[in-house]
Amino acid sequence: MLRVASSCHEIFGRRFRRALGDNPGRVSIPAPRPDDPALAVLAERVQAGDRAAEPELVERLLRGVIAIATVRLGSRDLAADAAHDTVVALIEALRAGRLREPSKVAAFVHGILVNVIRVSHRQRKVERASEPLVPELHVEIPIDRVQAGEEQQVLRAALGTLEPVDRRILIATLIDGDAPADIARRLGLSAQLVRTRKSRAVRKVAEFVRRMTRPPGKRYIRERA
Amino acid sequence: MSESTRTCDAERLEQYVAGRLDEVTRDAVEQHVLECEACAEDVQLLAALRAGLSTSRASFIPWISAVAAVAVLAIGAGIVRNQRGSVPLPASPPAAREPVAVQPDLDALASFTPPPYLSLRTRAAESPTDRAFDAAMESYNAGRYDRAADLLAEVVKRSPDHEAASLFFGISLLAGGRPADAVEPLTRVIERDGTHTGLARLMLARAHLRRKDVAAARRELETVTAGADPEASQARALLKALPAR
Repeated sequence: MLRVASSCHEIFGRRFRRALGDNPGRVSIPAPRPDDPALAVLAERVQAGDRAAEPELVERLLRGVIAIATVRLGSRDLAADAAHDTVVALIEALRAGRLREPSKVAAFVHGILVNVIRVSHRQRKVERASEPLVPELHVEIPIDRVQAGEEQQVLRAALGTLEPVDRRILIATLIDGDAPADIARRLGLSAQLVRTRKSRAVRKVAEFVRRMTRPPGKRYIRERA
Repeated sequence: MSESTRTCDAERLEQYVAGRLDEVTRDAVEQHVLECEACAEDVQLLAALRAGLSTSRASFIPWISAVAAVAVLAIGAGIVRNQRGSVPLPASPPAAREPVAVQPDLDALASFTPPPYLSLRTRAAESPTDRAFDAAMESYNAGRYDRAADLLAEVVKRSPDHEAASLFFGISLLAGGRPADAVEPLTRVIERDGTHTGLARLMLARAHLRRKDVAAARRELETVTAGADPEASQARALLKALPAR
Protein backbone atom coordinates (compact mmCIF):
# COMPACT_ATOMS: atom_id res chain seq x y z
CA MET A 1 0.00 0.00 0.00
CA LEU A 2 1.30 3.42 -0.88
CA ARG A 3 0.28 5.65 1.94
CA VAL A 4 0.76 9.39 1.98
CA ALA A 5 0.08 11.47 5.05
CA SER A 6 -0.09 15.20 5.08
CA SER A 7 -1.32 17.81 7.50
CA CYS A 8 -1.91 21.52 7.62
CA HIS A 9 0.83 21.80 10.19
CA GLU A 10 3.34 20.30 7.82
CA ILE A 11 2.10 22.57 5.10
CA PHE A 12 2.74 25.57 7.32
CA GLY A 13 5.86 24.13 8.93
CA ARG A 14 8.42 24.63 6.22
CA ARG A 15 7.08 28.03 5.37
CA PHE A 16 7.55 29.02 9.00
CA ARG A 17 11.12 27.86 8.95
CA ARG A 18 11.81 29.81 5.81
CA ALA A 19 9.74 32.79 6.84
CA LEU A 20 11.17 32.97 10.33
CA GLY A 21 14.72 31.99 9.55
CA ASP A 22 17.63 34.28 8.85
CA ASN A 23 15.79 36.64 6.56
CA PRO A 24 13.66 39.09 8.55
CA GLY A 25 12.27 40.66 5.40
CA ARG A 26 10.66 38.94 2.45
CA VAL A 27 10.48 35.18 2.62
CA SER A 28 13.57 33.72 1.05
CA ILE A 29 12.80 31.64 -1.99
CA PRO A 30 15.22 29.15 -3.45
CA ALA A 31 16.36 29.49 -7.01
CA PRO A 32 13.88 28.24 -9.61
CA ARG A 33 14.25 24.72 -10.80
CA PRO A 34 12.62 24.53 -14.21
CA ASP A 35 12.33 21.03 -15.56
CA ASP A 36 13.61 19.64 -12.28
CA PRO A 37 16.09 16.92 -13.30
CA ALA A 38 15.42 14.92 -10.12
CA LEU A 39 11.76 14.76 -11.09
CA ALA A 40 12.64 13.56 -14.59
CA VAL A 41 15.00 10.91 -13.20
CA LEU A 42 12.33 9.66 -10.81
CA ALA A 43 9.80 9.51 -13.64
CA GLU A 44 12.23 7.54 -15.77
CA ARG A 45 12.89 5.12 -12.94
CA VAL A 46 9.15 4.52 -12.49
CA GLN A 47 8.76 3.99 -16.24
CA ALA A 48 11.59 1.47 -16.08
CA GLY A 49 9.67 -0.52 -13.47
CA ASP A 50 11.46 0.66 -10.32
CA ARG A 51 8.69 0.39 -7.70
CA ALA A 52 10.86 2.01 -5.05
CA ALA A 53 10.84 5.22 -7.07
CA GLU A 54 7.05 5.48 -7.04
CA PRO A 55 6.59 6.74 -3.46
CA GLU A 56 9.54 9.10 -3.94
CA LEU A 57 7.98 10.61 -7.02
CA VAL A 58 4.58 10.91 -5.33
CA GLU A 59 6.06 12.61 -2.28
CA ARG A 60 8.00 15.00 -4.49
CA LEU A 61 4.87 16.03 -6.40
CA LEU A 62 2.17 15.76 -3.78
CA ARG A 63 2.53 19.17 -2.15
CA GLY A 64 2.15 20.95 -5.47
CA VAL A 65 -0.75 18.76 -6.54
CA ILE A 66 -2.64 19.43 -3.28
CA ALA A 67 -1.86 23.16 -3.47
CA ILE A 68 -3.23 23.49 -6.99
CA ALA A 69 -6.26 21.31 -6.30
CA THR A 70 -7.06 23.35 -3.18
CA VAL A 71 -6.99 26.60 -5.13
CA ARG A 72 -8.96 25.22 -8.06
CA LEU A 73 -11.57 23.33 -6.04
CA GLY A 74 -11.82 25.63 -3.02
CA SER A 75 -12.04 22.70 -0.63
CA ARG A 76 -9.28 20.74 1.04
CA ASP A 77 -11.53 17.72 1.19
CA LEU A 78 -12.11 17.70 -2.56
CA ALA A 79 -8.45 18.61 -3.09
CA ALA A 80 -7.37 15.51 -1.17
CA ASP A 81 -9.63 13.39 -3.39
CA ALA A 82 -8.25 15.03 -6.52
CA ALA A 83 -4.67 14.54 -5.33
CA HIS A 84 -5.38 10.89 -4.68
CA ASP A 85 -6.85 10.34 -8.13
CA THR A 86 -4.07 12.30 -9.83
CA VAL A 87 -1.17 10.39 -8.30
CA VAL A 88 -2.87 7.05 -8.89
CA ALA A 89 -3.48 7.96 -12.54
CA LEU A 90 0.10 9.20 -12.84
CA ILE A 91 1.62 5.99 -11.53
CA GLU A 92 -0.68 3.98 -13.76
CA ALA A 93 0.40 6.02 -16.80
CA LEU A 94 4.09 5.75 -15.95
CA ARG A 95 3.88 2.02 -15.39
CA ALA A 96 2.28 1.77 -18.82
CA GLY A 97 5.10 3.87 -20.32
CA ARG A 98 2.83 6.68 -21.48
CA LEU A 99 5.22 9.57 -20.64
CA ARG A 100 7.23 10.23 -23.80
CA GLU A 101 9.53 12.95 -22.46
CA PRO A 102 10.48 12.45 -18.82
CA SER A 103 11.78 16.04 -18.67
CA LYS A 104 8.19 17.19 -19.18
CA VAL A 105 6.81 15.25 -16.22
CA ALA A 106 5.45 18.41 -14.56
CA ALA A 107 3.42 19.26 -17.64
CA PHE A 108 2.26 15.63 -17.80
CA VAL A 109 1.11 15.68 -14.16
CA HIS A 110 -0.54 19.03 -14.72
CA GLY A 111 -2.56 17.59 -17.60
CA ILE A 112 -3.75 14.70 -15.43
CA LEU A 113 -4.59 17.01 -12.53
CA VAL A 114 -6.57 19.42 -14.71
CA ASN A 115 -8.61 16.51 -16.04
CA VAL A 116 -9.27 15.18 -12.55
CA ILE A 117 -10.32 18.65 -11.39
CA ARG A 118 -12.61 18.98 -14.40
CA VAL A 119 -14.30 15.70 -13.47
CA SER A 120 -14.51 16.79 -9.84
CA HIS A 121 -16.11 20.05 -10.87
CA ARG A 122 -18.65 18.08 -12.89
CA GLN A 123 -19.46 15.58 -10.20
CA ARG A 124 -18.39 17.71 -7.18
CA LYS A 125 -17.20 14.48 -5.75
CA VAL A 126 -15.23 11.87 -7.62
CA GLU A 127 -16.74 8.51 -6.92
CA ARG A 128 -14.09 6.06 -6.00
CA ALA A 129 -14.08 2.77 -7.84
CA SER A 130 -14.35 -0.18 -5.53
CA GLU A 131 -11.24 -1.69 -7.07
CA PRO A 132 -7.96 0.24 -7.13
CA LEU A 133 -7.12 1.76 -10.52
CA VAL A 134 -3.65 0.29 -10.35
CA PRO A 135 -3.32 -3.29 -9.17
CA GLU A 136 -1.48 -3.58 -5.86
CA LEU A 137 -1.41 0.16 -5.45
CA HIS A 138 -3.66 2.03 -3.12
CA VAL A 139 -3.05 5.59 -2.08
CA GLU A 140 -4.47 7.05 1.11
CA ILE A 141 -4.23 10.65 2.12
CA PRO A 142 -5.47 10.52 5.72
CA ILE A 143 -5.71 13.91 7.37
CA ASP A 144 -6.87 14.34 10.96
CA ARG A 145 -10.24 16.06 10.78
CA VAL A 146 -10.20 17.25 14.36
CA GLN A 147 -6.72 18.65 13.89
CA ALA A 148 -7.80 20.32 10.67
CA GLY A 149 -10.81 21.82 12.43
CA GLU A 150 -8.57 23.10 15.22
CA GLU A 151 -6.20 24.62 12.72
CA GLN A 152 -9.03 26.42 10.98
CA GLN A 153 -10.07 27.91 14.32
CA VAL A 154 -6.48 28.86 15.07
CA LEU A 155 -6.13 30.42 11.65
CA ARG A 156 -9.22 32.55 12.22
CA ALA A 157 -7.94 33.57 15.63
CA ALA A 158 -4.57 34.44 14.07
CA LEU A 159 -6.29 36.64 11.53
CA GLY A 160 -8.09 38.32 14.44
CA THR A 161 -4.74 39.43 15.87
CA LEU A 162 -3.86 41.44 12.77
CA GLU A 163 -4.26 45.17 12.66
CA PRO A 164 -7.33 46.22 10.61
CA VAL A 165 -5.16 47.75 7.90
CA ASP A 166 -3.22 44.50 7.51
CA ARG A 167 -6.45 42.52 7.25
CA ARG A 168 -7.63 44.94 4.57
CA ILE A 169 -4.37 44.48 2.68
CA LEU A 170 -4.65 40.67 2.85
CA ILE A 171 -8.32 40.71 1.84
CA ALA A 172 -7.59 43.07 -1.06
CA THR A 173 -4.67 40.89 -2.16
CA LEU A 174 -6.01 37.38 -1.72
CA ILE A 175 -9.76 37.79 -2.17
CA ASP A 176 -10.13 40.81 -4.42
CA GLY A 177 -6.85 40.17 -6.27
CA ASP A 178 -5.77 43.82 -6.18
CA ALA A 179 -2.20 44.89 -6.94
CA PRO A 180 -0.12 46.55 -4.19
CA ALA A 181 -0.19 49.87 -6.09
CA ASP A 182 -4.02 49.88 -6.15
CA ILE A 183 -4.25 48.93 -2.48
CA ALA A 184 -1.69 51.60 -1.63
CA ARG A 185 -3.69 54.26 -3.46
CA ARG A 186 -6.87 53.37 -1.59
CA LEU A 187 -5.20 53.25 1.81
CA GLY A 188 -3.00 56.29 1.30
CA LEU A 189 0.19 54.27 1.72
CA SER A 190 3.17 53.62 -0.51
CA ALA A 191 3.17 50.43 -2.57
CA GLN A 192 6.38 49.37 -0.84
CA LEU A 193 4.77 49.78 2.58
CA VAL A 194 1.81 47.68 1.42
CA ARG A 195 4.23 44.93 0.36
CA THR A 196 6.09 45.12 3.65
CA ARG A 197 2.92 45.04 5.75
CA LYS A 198 1.59 42.15 3.69
CA SER A 199 4.74 40.06 4.19
CA ARG A 200 4.79 40.88 7.88
CA ALA A 201 1.12 39.96 8.28
CA VAL A 202 1.64 36.61 6.55
CA ARG A 203 4.60 35.84 8.79
CA LYS A 204 2.65 36.87 11.89
CA VAL A 205 -0.23 34.55 11.01
CA ALA A 206 2.18 31.73 10.19
CA GLU A 207 3.98 32.15 13.51
CA PHE A 208 0.69 32.30 15.45
CA VAL A 209 -0.55 29.10 13.85
CA ARG A 210 2.77 27.38 14.51
CA ARG A 211 2.62 28.26 18.21
CA MET A 212 -1.00 27.25 18.65
CA THR A 213 -1.17 24.00 16.73
CA ARG A 214 -0.01 20.57 17.65
CA PRO A 215 3.39 19.29 16.58
CA PRO A 216 3.35 17.83 13.08
CA GLY A 217 2.34 14.26 12.66
CA LYS A 218 4.67 11.78 11.05
CA ARG A 219 4.73 12.02 7.31
CA TYR A 220 5.25 8.74 5.68
CA ILE A 221 4.92 6.91 2.47
CA ARG A 222 5.23 3.22 2.37
CA GLU A 223 4.81 0.48 -0.11
CA ARG A 224 2.36 -2.31 0.44
CA ALA A 225 4.17 -5.36 1.74
CA MET B 1 5.96 29.25 -20.54
CA SER B 2 7.13 32.81 -19.98
CA GLU B 3 10.24 33.47 -17.89
CA SER B 4 8.30 35.23 -15.13
CA THR B 5 6.02 32.27 -14.53
CA ARG B 6 8.99 29.89 -14.37
CA THR B 7 10.48 31.68 -11.42
CA CYS B 8 9.39 32.09 -7.81
CA ASP B 9 7.33 35.25 -7.94
CA ALA B 10 5.44 35.87 -4.68
CA GLU B 11 3.02 38.41 -6.15
CA ARG B 12 2.27 36.10 -9.07
CA LEU B 13 1.38 33.38 -6.58
CA GLU B 14 -0.94 35.79 -4.73
CA GLN B 15 -2.65 36.66 -8.01
CA TYR B 16 -2.94 32.95 -8.74
CA VAL B 17 -4.60 32.22 -5.38
CA ALA B 18 -6.91 35.20 -5.88
CA GLY B 19 -7.93 33.77 -9.29
CA ARG B 20 -6.68 36.83 -11.17
CA LEU B 21 -4.51 35.18 -13.82
CA ASP B 22 -5.47 34.41 -17.39
CA GLU B 23 -5.67 30.75 -18.34
CA VAL B 24 -2.24 30.54 -20.00
CA THR B 25 -0.42 32.23 -17.14
CA ARG B 26 -2.34 30.20 -14.59
CA ASP B 27 -1.32 26.92 -16.24
CA ALA B 28 2.30 28.06 -16.40
CA VAL B 29 2.27 29.02 -12.73
CA GLU B 30 0.73 25.67 -11.84
CA GLN B 31 3.44 23.78 -13.72
CA HIS B 32 6.03 25.76 -11.81
CA VAL B 33 4.26 24.98 -8.52
CA LEU B 34 4.45 21.28 -9.35
CA GLU B 35 8.21 21.56 -9.81
CA CYS B 36 8.97 23.94 -6.95
CA GLU B 37 8.11 22.74 -3.45
CA ALA B 38 8.77 26.16 -1.94
CA CYS B 39 6.12 27.78 -4.13
CA ALA B 40 3.76 24.86 -3.46
CA GLU B 41 4.08 25.59 0.26
CA ASP B 42 3.45 29.28 -0.34
CA VAL B 43 0.35 28.51 -2.38
CA GLN B 44 -1.00 26.25 0.38
CA LEU B 45 -0.46 28.91 3.01
CA LEU B 46 -1.98 31.64 0.85
CA ALA B 47 -4.99 29.44 0.01
CA ALA B 48 -5.55 28.73 3.72
CA LEU B 49 -5.28 32.44 4.48
CA ARG B 50 -7.71 33.26 1.71
CA ALA B 51 -10.23 30.75 3.07
CA GLY B 52 -9.80 32.11 6.59
CA LEU B 53 -10.24 35.70 5.43
CA SER B 54 -13.38 34.81 3.46
CA THR B 55 -14.89 33.10 6.50
CA SER B 56 -13.94 35.84 8.93
CA ARG B 57 -15.26 38.54 6.61
CA ALA B 58 -18.58 36.70 6.33
CA SER B 59 -18.86 36.03 10.07
CA PHE B 60 -17.95 39.63 10.84
CA ILE B 61 -21.22 40.85 9.33
CA PRO B 62 -23.50 39.75 12.24
CA TRP B 63 -21.10 41.53 14.59
CA ILE B 64 -21.31 44.69 12.56
CA SER B 65 -25.11 44.45 12.62
CA ALA B 66 -25.18 43.98 16.37
CA VAL B 67 -22.73 46.79 17.04
CA ALA B 68 -24.52 49.04 14.55
CA ALA B 69 -27.85 48.37 16.26
CA VAL B 70 -26.37 49.31 19.63
CA ALA B 71 -24.71 52.37 18.09
CA VAL B 72 -27.97 53.54 16.53
CA LEU B 73 -29.71 53.21 19.89
CA ALA B 74 -26.87 55.07 21.59
CA ILE B 75 -26.90 57.86 19.01
CA GLY B 76 -30.69 58.06 19.33
CA ALA B 77 -30.39 58.35 23.09
CA GLY B 78 -27.68 60.98 22.68
CA ILE B 79 -29.94 63.04 20.42
CA VAL B 80 -32.71 62.85 23.02
CA ARG B 81 -30.30 64.01 25.71
CA ASN B 82 -28.96 66.85 23.54
CA GLN B 83 -32.43 68.01 22.71
CA ARG B 84 -33.29 68.04 26.37
CA GLY B 85 -30.19 70.13 27.01
CA SER B 86 -30.84 72.75 24.34
CA VAL B 87 -34.62 73.01 24.31
CA PRO B 88 -36.41 74.53 27.33
CA LEU B 89 -38.05 71.83 29.33
CA PRO B 90 -41.82 71.92 29.67
CA ALA B 91 -43.07 72.85 33.10
CA SER B 92 -44.31 69.37 33.70
CA PRO B 93 -42.15 66.96 31.67
CA PRO B 94 -44.05 63.95 30.44
CA ALA B 95 -42.61 60.58 31.36
CA ALA B 96 -42.07 59.76 27.70
CA ARG B 97 -39.42 62.46 27.43
CA GLU B 98 -37.20 60.90 30.07
CA PRO B 99 -33.75 59.88 28.75
CA VAL B 100 -33.73 56.43 27.20
CA ALA B 101 -31.64 53.97 29.17
CA VAL B 102 -29.66 52.14 26.49
CA GLN B 103 -28.96 48.50 27.18
CA PRO B 104 -27.15 46.39 24.62
CA ASP B 105 -29.29 43.69 23.10
CA LEU B 106 -27.89 40.58 24.80
CA ASP B 107 -29.24 38.28 22.11
CA ALA B 108 -27.46 40.35 19.47
CA LEU B 109 -24.25 40.24 21.48
CA ALA B 110 -24.61 36.48 21.88
CA SER B 111 -25.20 35.92 18.18
CA PHE B 112 -22.43 34.08 16.36
CA THR B 113 -21.66 32.12 13.26
CA PRO B 114 -20.94 28.52 14.30
CA PRO B 115 -17.33 27.77 13.39
CA PRO B 116 -17.27 25.50 10.35
CA TYR B 117 -15.92 22.04 10.91
CA LEU B 118 -13.52 21.28 8.11
CA SER B 119 -13.37 17.68 7.14
CA LEU B 120 -10.18 16.48 5.56
CA ARG B 121 -10.20 12.77 6.24
CA THR B 122 -10.61 10.94 2.98
CA ARG B 123 -10.43 7.42 4.21
CA ALA B 124 -13.48 5.87 5.79
CA ALA B 125 -13.93 6.40 9.51
CA GLU B 126 -12.56 3.43 11.37
CA SER B 127 -14.59 3.10 14.56
CA PRO B 128 -18.36 3.31 15.10
CA THR B 129 -17.74 6.43 17.20
CA ASP B 130 -15.79 8.07 14.37
CA ARG B 131 -18.52 7.19 11.92
CA ALA B 132 -21.22 8.60 14.20
CA PHE B 133 -19.16 11.74 14.74
CA ASP B 134 -18.64 12.16 10.99
CA ALA B 135 -22.36 11.80 10.37
CA ALA B 136 -23.15 14.36 13.06
CA MET B 137 -20.66 16.84 11.68
CA GLU B 138 -22.14 16.51 8.21
CA SER B 139 -25.43 17.73 9.68
CA TYR B 140 -23.56 20.43 11.59
CA ASN B 141 -21.80 21.73 8.48
CA ALA B 142 -25.13 21.69 6.64
CA GLY B 143 -26.57 24.00 9.30
CA ARG B 144 -28.91 21.33 10.70
CA TYR B 145 -27.91 22.02 14.29
CA ASP B 146 -30.84 20.23 15.93
CA ARG B 147 -30.04 17.06 14.02
CA ALA B 148 -26.33 17.46 14.74
CA ALA B 149 -27.07 17.90 18.45
CA ASP B 150 -29.14 14.70 18.50
CA LEU B 151 -26.37 12.71 16.80
CA LEU B 152 -23.60 14.25 18.90
CA ALA B 153 -25.55 13.45 22.06
CA GLU B 154 -25.19 9.79 21.10
CA VAL B 155 -21.46 10.17 20.44
CA VAL B 156 -20.92 11.91 23.78
CA LYS B 157 -22.97 9.25 25.55
CA ARG B 158 -20.82 6.54 23.96
CA SER B 159 -17.52 8.40 24.38
CA PRO B 160 -17.70 10.96 27.17
CA ASP B 161 -14.01 11.78 26.64
CA HIS B 162 -14.50 12.80 23.00
CA GLU B 163 -13.61 16.45 23.43
CA ALA B 164 -14.53 17.61 19.92
CA ALA B 165 -17.89 15.86 20.18
CA SER B 166 -18.69 17.60 23.48
CA LEU B 167 -17.58 20.94 22.07
CA PHE B 168 -19.63 20.71 18.90
CA PHE B 169 -22.55 19.24 20.87
CA GLY B 170 -22.56 22.40 22.98
CA ILE B 171 -22.19 24.66 19.95
CA SER B 172 -24.99 22.83 18.12
CA LEU B 173 -27.31 23.22 21.09
CA LEU B 174 -26.47 26.90 21.34
CA ALA B 175 -26.92 27.45 17.61
CA GLY B 176 -30.17 25.50 17.76
CA GLY B 177 -31.57 27.87 20.39
CA ARG B 178 -31.03 25.70 23.50
CA PRO B 179 -28.52 27.74 25.52
CA ALA B 180 -29.47 26.17 28.86
CA ASP B 181 -28.73 22.67 27.50
CA ALA B 182 -25.44 23.88 26.00
CA VAL B 183 -23.98 24.75 29.40
CA GLU B 184 -23.30 21.17 30.52
CA PRO B 185 -21.30 19.88 27.50
CA LEU B 186 -19.35 23.13 27.20
CA THR B 187 -18.51 23.02 30.91
CA ARG B 188 -17.28 19.45 30.43
CA VAL B 189 -14.89 20.62 27.71
CA ILE B 190 -13.61 23.39 29.97
CA GLU B 191 -13.08 20.96 32.83
CA ARG B 192 -10.96 18.75 30.59
CA ASP B 193 -8.74 21.78 29.95
CA GLY B 194 -7.71 20.51 26.55
CA THR B 195 -7.13 22.30 23.28
CA HIS B 196 -10.69 23.64 22.97
CA THR B 197 -10.98 25.36 26.36
CA GLY B 198 -10.89 28.92 25.03
CA LEU B 199 -13.51 28.29 22.39
CA ALA B 200 -15.69 26.41 24.89
CA ARG B 201 -15.52 29.33 27.34
CA LEU B 202 -16.39 31.80 24.58
CA MET B 203 -19.41 29.69 23.61
CA LEU B 204 -20.39 29.25 27.25
CA ALA B 205 -20.30 33.03 27.68
CA ARG B 206 -22.69 33.34 24.74
CA ALA B 207 -24.97 30.72 26.28
CA HIS B 208 -25.03 32.76 29.50
CA LEU B 209 -25.81 35.92 27.55
CA ARG B 210 -28.73 34.18 25.85
CA ARG B 211 -29.94 33.32 29.35
CA LYS B 212 -29.47 36.99 30.36
CA ASP B 213 -26.85 35.99 32.92
CA VAL B 214 -24.38 38.79 32.22
CA ALA B 215 -22.30 38.18 35.35
CA ALA B 216 -21.62 34.54 34.42
CA ALA B 217 -20.82 35.55 30.83
CA ARG B 218 -18.42 38.19 32.10
CA ARG B 219 -16.61 35.64 34.29
CA GLU B 220 -16.03 33.31 31.35
CA LEU B 221 -14.88 36.11 29.07
CA GLU B 222 -12.49 37.50 31.67
CA THR B 223 -10.97 34.05 32.07
CA VAL B 224 -10.42 33.80 28.32
CA THR B 225 -8.85 37.25 28.07
CA ALA B 226 -6.52 36.44 30.97
CA GLY B 227 -5.18 33.36 29.18
CA ALA B 228 -3.33 32.75 25.96
CA ASP B 229 -6.21 31.18 24.06
CA PRO B 230 -6.62 32.28 20.45
CA GLU B 231 -10.17 33.39 21.33
CA ALA B 232 -8.82 36.14 23.63
CA SER B 233 -9.35 38.96 21.13
CA GLN B 234 -12.96 37.92 20.47
CA ALA B 235 -13.58 37.62 24.19
CA ARG B 236 -12.10 41.08 24.77
CA ALA B 237 -14.36 42.62 22.11
CA LEU B 238 -17.42 40.92 23.59
CA LEU B 239 -16.44 41.98 27.09
CA LYS B 240 -16.23 45.60 25.98
CA ALA B 241 -19.70 45.43 24.48
CA LEU B 242 -21.31 44.08 27.67
CA PRO B 243 -23.50 46.43 29.68
CA ALA B 244 -21.75 48.23 32.54
CA ARG B 245 -21.76 46.45 35.90
